[in-house]
This record gives sequence, structure tokens and C-alpha cells, in this order.
Amino acid sequence: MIFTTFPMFNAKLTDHYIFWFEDSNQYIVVSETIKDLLDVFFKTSNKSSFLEALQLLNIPLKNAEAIYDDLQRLVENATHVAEPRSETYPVPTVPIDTIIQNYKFENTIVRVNYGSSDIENLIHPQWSHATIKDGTHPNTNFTIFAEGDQLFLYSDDDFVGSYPKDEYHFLQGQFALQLVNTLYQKTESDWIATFHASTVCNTEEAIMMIGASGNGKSTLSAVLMASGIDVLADDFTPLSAGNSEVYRYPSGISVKEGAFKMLETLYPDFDNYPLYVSTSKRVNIKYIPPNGSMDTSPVHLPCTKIVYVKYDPNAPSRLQKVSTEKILETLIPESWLSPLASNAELFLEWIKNLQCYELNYSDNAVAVSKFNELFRA
Amino acid sequence: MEKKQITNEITRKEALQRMGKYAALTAVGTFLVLNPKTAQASSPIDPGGNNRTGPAPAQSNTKQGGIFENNNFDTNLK
Repeated sequence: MIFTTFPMFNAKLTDHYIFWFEDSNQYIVVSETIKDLLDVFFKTSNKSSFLEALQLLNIPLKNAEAIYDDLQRLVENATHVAEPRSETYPVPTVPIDTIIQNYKFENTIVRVNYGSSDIENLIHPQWSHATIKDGTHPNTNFTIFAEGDQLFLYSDDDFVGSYPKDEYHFLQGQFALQLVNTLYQKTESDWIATFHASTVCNTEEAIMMIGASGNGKSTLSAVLMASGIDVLADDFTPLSAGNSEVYRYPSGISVKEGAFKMLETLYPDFDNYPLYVSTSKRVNIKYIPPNGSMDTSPVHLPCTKIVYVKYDPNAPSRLQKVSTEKILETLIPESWLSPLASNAELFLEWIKNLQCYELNYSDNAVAVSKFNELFRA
Repeated sequence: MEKKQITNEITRKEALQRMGKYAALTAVGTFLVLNPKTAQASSPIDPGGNNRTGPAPAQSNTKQGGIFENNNFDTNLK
């Protein structure tokens, strides 16, 4: 089979190479040996030329054939475009009777019309700190309501999307994107990625935190914020294509009941923060208002450091350098990355300059001190 | 067996099956296939509460393949 769709871009990391395939927006990280084989695969026009080339390298024919088949499968998979979702739903009429909340972020006013209190509970809690009574002339007027088993999101009069009720986290993610688009006058194509990450900053740089779900990123954000560190973003960190910088996402920091007792010692007003029950009605959560404000704190900053964080009370605390490859293993599958070629190119350029770390911590004071060290590094 | 352990067992089995699909490649080097999410999404809430230790639940957008150790396949490629 002759492939005409080659990976659009590739870049060298520490010990590996990363390829990006436009058809699928897929990234493949490979060791140098496989990169060399892929080079031969893409340069040779068919299987027999490939096998000839590998025989010149003293690779036995049987092995070369197996390698060719694997590479073909790998590339076919990377050039496969998933079938778009075929379900369509009639776009319903936007309801008039809604619960209205207005939010203010520096000079931007956002109004959200919620179709019900359950729907309000999906979005409002993390923005309640920004609520204002009077939202005259909002910059954007969002409406979120349910019909049947779908949730619908409108931005002004435009239909944005519909999401199954049991996949409400997609509604929340899309709302987050729409909000940053409003705050910074951007559209989806202006972002390289929206990372599933929390980010802290000083006045000069930002440091991103990633980790497996449940590993304590948001709790750590709250701990760092209590120590005076500015939290630029919690759980959702957008990276702009215009300047390759991460932008402030001014939401409250979500913390779960397991951390309440510890956080009460750090936040004197913690008891006064409203308690919410998650939509699954199994988890109590609170949202801590962010300390940085959009009018006095940096709105966007360069980010060249990423830390994989993991709370482990049974292990000694340790901050160590790790390869970019290890970070990408978590970062990419957990985040939305723009499928546009120009943005993928910018992503590869951005990751080339990253310094990556892993922080295992069992003690909050140590975690704070390690982050302060990183800001000075 | 806890639900979490069962989920992790399934994820490991899937990974092993995928390793089998690329046996020749995994014999000569390492590769990792990473698919970004197709849409923005917020974090799913883990009913286990904060400060969990141990493996996290399997993600819905799973990667294929994995980083595997080179098993000293003899080749003139560097």
C-alpha cells in the first residue's frame, strides 16, 4: 500500500521523537530505532523496497516483513478518521423562564440563563465568587437547558452544542471554552490546547501541574494558594496560539470532602464556603474563590515547566526531573488539543522547550517549598 | 475484587493485547500512541474523595500501545 498521508510534523524530544498525524490528530512518540524504521517506511514507495532497504541493514527478511506489517498497521491507525457522531437532535426553542446569574470578570460581564436548578448546579458553584446582582449589557448571554435526555448550550442566539445528560462533563468543558473565548475575545481555533491541568504562577512565569484523576491536583492548588502562590487556573488551562502562553481561568478551586479538615486549617473562612453535592449525589464539594484577580494579576504568562504531582502519604517527598515523554503520556490523552495543523506545529514547538518534573509529596509544607524552588530554578 | 481493581485489570489486559498487535515493533523499540480528547471536558468527580493513593480510574479516551522495553533485538540501526 502506498501512503500519501505522511505525518505532518515531527520533533525530537530527549530520547524519543514525536510524530503528529493530521487525519486523526494523533501523536506517536517513538524511540530512535522506530523513528529510523519509519523514515525508511515513508521514503520507500512499497513493501518490497522497504524489505530491500532493511536487508541492506542486515535485518532478516522474516523480521523485516513483520516490522513492515506493524508499521503499516500503526500508520493506518494514525490516518484513520473516526466516523462523526451520527445522532442529530432537533434544535429546540430556547426557554424564556430560566434562572439568571450574572458574573463579572474585570470588565467582562457574562450572563448565564439556567433551565433548572439542577443545571445551575453543574456550572454556577465554581463561578459563584464572581456573581453580581446587576448584569446590564452582558458581553455574552449563555443559555443552558435540557430537553429530553440532552443538555443544550447556546451562546447569545447561537446554538453551540448538545450533550447527553449523563455526559454533562462535556457541557462543562464546552462552557469553559466558551467562557475563555468571551474573556479573551478568541475562538476555538485561537487555542493550541485546553489542558486538563492546574497552573500556578508568579509575575514572570507559570508552572503547570498534571496528574491522574484523584491524585490531588486541585487540593494542591488550594494548598499552594493558601501559602500565597497565585493559582492561574484549576483543572482547565488554555494555551493560546497567538503567543504560546497559558491564560487565566478564574474559577473557584474545587475541593472534595476528604480534604475539608486539612483546608479548614489553611482557610479561616472555609466553613462559610457553600457546600455542594455533586450531580452524582455521592460527593460533597466546596469551591475556594481564587486569590488572583484579573485586574491586578497577570492574565497570561509563558509556561516552560510541567510537574506531574502525586500525593502519597506513605512515601518520602521527592521532586525529580523526568522526560517530556513521560509527561506527554498523561498530558495528551487527558486534554483537548487543536486539530488544526498550524496549532499542532505550535504545540510541538512548545513542548520542545519544556522542563518536566515529578513531585511525590506526603507533606503540604514540602510541596509548597518545592514549588517555590521551581519558581527560582 | 474492588471495582477499581477490576477496571485496572481490564486496562492492563487491553494493553497486553495491543502489545501483541505490534510484537515486531515492540521487539525493536518503544512507541506510544497518544490520542487527545476530541472535545473539552471537565474532570469526572471521583467518589473516592480527595487524596487518594493508588492507581486512578481508567480514562474514557484510552491510548493504544505503550512504552515497552527494547529486548535487545540485533540490528544495525542505532
